[in-house]
Amino acid sequence: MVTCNPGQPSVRILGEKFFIKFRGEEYCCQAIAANGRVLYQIRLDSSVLYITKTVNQHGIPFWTAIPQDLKLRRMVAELGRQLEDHLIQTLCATTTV
Amino acid sequence: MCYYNSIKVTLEEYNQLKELETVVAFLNEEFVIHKGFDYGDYPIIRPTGKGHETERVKMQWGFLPPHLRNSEDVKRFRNGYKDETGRYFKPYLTLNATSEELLNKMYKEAALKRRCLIPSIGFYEWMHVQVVGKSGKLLKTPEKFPYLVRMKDQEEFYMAGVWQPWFDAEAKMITNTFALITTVANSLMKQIHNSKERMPTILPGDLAEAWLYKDLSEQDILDIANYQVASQDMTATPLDKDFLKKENPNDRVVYKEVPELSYG
Repeated sequence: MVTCNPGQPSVRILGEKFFIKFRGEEYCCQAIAANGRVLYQIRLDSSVLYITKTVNQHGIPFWTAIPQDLKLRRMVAELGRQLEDHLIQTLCATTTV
Repeated sequence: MCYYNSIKVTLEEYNQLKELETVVAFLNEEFVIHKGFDYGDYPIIRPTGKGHETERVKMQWGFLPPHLRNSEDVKRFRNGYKDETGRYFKPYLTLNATSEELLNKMYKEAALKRRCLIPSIGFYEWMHVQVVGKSGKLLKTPEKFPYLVRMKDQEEFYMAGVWQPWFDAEAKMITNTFALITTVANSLMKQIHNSKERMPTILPGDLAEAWLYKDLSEQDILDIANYQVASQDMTATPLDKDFLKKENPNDRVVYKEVPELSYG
């Protein structure tokens, strides 16, 4: 197996790593600032999922995977909810678009 | 209005989300540990054909020879299969190409015409160790202990590879695929990858350049493909057996069952 580091992206790590519970398992998360937005990196077994909060045409927020993946919509919505619960409980903070 | 996840968002929001995709593409390359048997895409370096210019492009790790016609052929090629008479055909493992057989049929044309470099910050290998069971006797199956191997003074290094465009005649699509070249293990890698005693062909700057650009003879190709980096230039870190699931997969772990490595 091989890992690769093809260059530094222009991003900033925000705060410490934390864990959220999802379907009985704990997953490691990291907030990352990129292009003036906050991305959440969720480390799965051997891959990484990135999610962010966005807003639809009516101003209603929803969570989406980056890049978009229709198959993951429900899972991402659930992960987003868990993430928000975690932030509210530990930091008394919430997420914004 | 544009659609993201089939939900309507404003054009401004859509553009921002698309920009984040570029960021994520970079982040993915930095954070993800690529497992060869996933046959996923991996960034490789190849010459553009314009002077000494190179480009990083993603290709599928797992060399596919041109005679395979469609995805079903690929599945059989990679996993093996039984024909109607029950005869079993073994799978071909083409993630790695051994340096000694590089000029044999499958890789020859690619070795002569389509050489590439595979950038890496480290690779993983497993040491097989016979351990004593609860009964006090040696267990039949050795235990496997993973190591992260890096270069001492080079954060990123280059491994030799060959690439091959593969045409899926059914889907009418071309997929570029590559194999990483392996050579005989040096003394350090013999201790770690003790089941096969192989390691990637890691090239220093001058050989990496020659591999990409020079019009090499068959002997030159074999000489470079067989190049063995020195043990003293490498560093190896034992990892948790479940490192892929860890928050920090590359954290050092100490095992009492595992002998100390010698760099000499």
